[in-house]
Amino acid sequence: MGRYILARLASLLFVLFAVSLITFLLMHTVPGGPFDVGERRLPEATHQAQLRKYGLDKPLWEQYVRYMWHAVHLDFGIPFQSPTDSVIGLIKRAWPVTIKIGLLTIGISYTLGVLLGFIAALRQNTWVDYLVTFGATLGLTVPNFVVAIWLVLILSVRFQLLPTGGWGSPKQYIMPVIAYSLAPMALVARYTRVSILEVLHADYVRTARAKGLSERRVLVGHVARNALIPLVTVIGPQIPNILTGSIFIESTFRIPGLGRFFVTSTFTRDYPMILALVLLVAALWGITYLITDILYTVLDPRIRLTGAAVMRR
Amino acid sequence: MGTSATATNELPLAGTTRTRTNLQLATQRFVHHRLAMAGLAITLVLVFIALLAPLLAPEPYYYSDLAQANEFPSHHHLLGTDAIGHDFLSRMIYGVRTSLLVGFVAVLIACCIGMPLGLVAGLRGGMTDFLVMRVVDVMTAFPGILFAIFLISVVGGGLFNVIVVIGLTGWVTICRLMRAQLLSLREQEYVTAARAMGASEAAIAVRHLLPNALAPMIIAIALAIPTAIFAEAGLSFLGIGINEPTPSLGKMVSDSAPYIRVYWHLGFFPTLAIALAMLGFTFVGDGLRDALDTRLG
Repeated sequence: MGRYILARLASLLFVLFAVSLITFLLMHTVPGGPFDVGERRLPEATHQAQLRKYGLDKPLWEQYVRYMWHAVHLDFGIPFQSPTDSVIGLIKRAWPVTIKIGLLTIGISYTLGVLLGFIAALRQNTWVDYLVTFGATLGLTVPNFVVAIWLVLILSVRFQLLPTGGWGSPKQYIMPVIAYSLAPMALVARYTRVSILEVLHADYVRTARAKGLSERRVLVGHVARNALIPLVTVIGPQIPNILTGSIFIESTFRIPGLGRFFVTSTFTRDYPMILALVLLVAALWGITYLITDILYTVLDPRIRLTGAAVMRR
Repeated sequence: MGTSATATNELPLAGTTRTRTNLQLATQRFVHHRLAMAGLAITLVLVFIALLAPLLAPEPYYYSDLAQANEFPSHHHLLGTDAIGHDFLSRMIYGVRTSLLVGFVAVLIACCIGMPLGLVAGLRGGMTDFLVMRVVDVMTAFPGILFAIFLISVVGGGLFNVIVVIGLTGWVTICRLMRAQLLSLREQEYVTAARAMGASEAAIAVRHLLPNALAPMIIAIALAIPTAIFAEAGLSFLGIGINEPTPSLGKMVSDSAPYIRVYWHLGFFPTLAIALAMLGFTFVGDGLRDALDTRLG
């Protein structure tokens, strides 16, 4: 177990290193730096001074090493798109907005997803089951920005109930959270349904019924407890994804969260910001995967962590 | 082998139980799958629209008449016009063409990268496998569409770049599935039996592993198409995908955003088309899974 975790940590570090290196190199090999702003050419001396200020005149490897050294100390430098601020400051201000939507999304989608999946499984092959299954396929297939536009058309344009976007009042949370929740909800519902169906016919469930337990105790104590464990592997990896926000949702509803930085930074070739974002997301992903796998063994003692047995799905 | 096959076909069927090949059985299951057939119908209509776009579109996609900008749907312009006077129906028809073009070609590229890599990793194992899987690990660390966005920022937008970038980010799933298939098939008893009878590793790969890995690969490829379509629509929606004057459904959605309060049709029709394209291909993919993969039931 200890060795397994160490090996996984090592591989995580390798991935982070590779990701940072690739991002760093790609960003620097492309033509066009952050300071050539169209026709407004600066005098050569000013341009040089600017490059020197941000360390862009140094050799590439030196820039990279310096960057990583600071990054380890959580100093990601100064974002080109807002030079009076720091990358970490910008992220600190934008991320809570995204996290707020993310937590609401996780809470709603996971609860409703489990509930719907449970109901569908108990009513297998009835219209309820078909409705949930079909709804789940829709939720997983239709892109969230399409759902977002439909919500705007219905709730804002047709019925004028909600503002089309922006950020501030709780009213403005509703549509982003709905649009963002559908896909994870569909995923959770689908897996819950399959998982419950598998357990429903297990021997120990029949035994529980045979010894005269009430249906409620069978379902809660035996079916749910066992069926929901595999869900950890589905739910876990979704969390960092949801918490770092959807670029599409945030741009549709004009939400000042983390997501929009992915696009704005890409356009302004804001190296420090892009590197920080990519590293942040990759680290979150790696750590969540690891925790998910460990948690899985704790919850289900039948599973043993060995090198190849638990592969990434 | 050719003669024996014809001989079997010429056997008199009367009086004997009709034997069906696996392919016939799968086709039958697919045809009886209602969602799959609905998906197939949607897909065929879209392919038809994409192929015949120049004949179907009332106006060329680049033709705009500012005097007729922002019109609601009417018998003049069936789906209205957009903010600079393009006939919206024509733009939609060509947008579908762009979507499908990206979907098919990007998946083709993804297959050309992912399948060989998965093959060598799964067949050779050892160091090759280790290296390929580390590349896969790194690619997976860029979540979702992030890597595509990032690559686009490096190479720029446009139809060709979008196709290549989506292909370059899409191979991972295919590679991983190919490898996983080979690894699990290698442990099958019939492979051990073939090996015991002295079959060479190459013969085992060609005769036993690849044909059996085919069905899951077809499913994965079918389901990769809607993913690629989504990626194109998404990138264009963010304004970093297809460039003017090429129409793209995703771009039409984001272009409509400022006008959506009044001109609802600008937001509704392209999103509907994106949703239909995604659903059509996904239903076909799901149907193929149910039809081909008898083990899942």
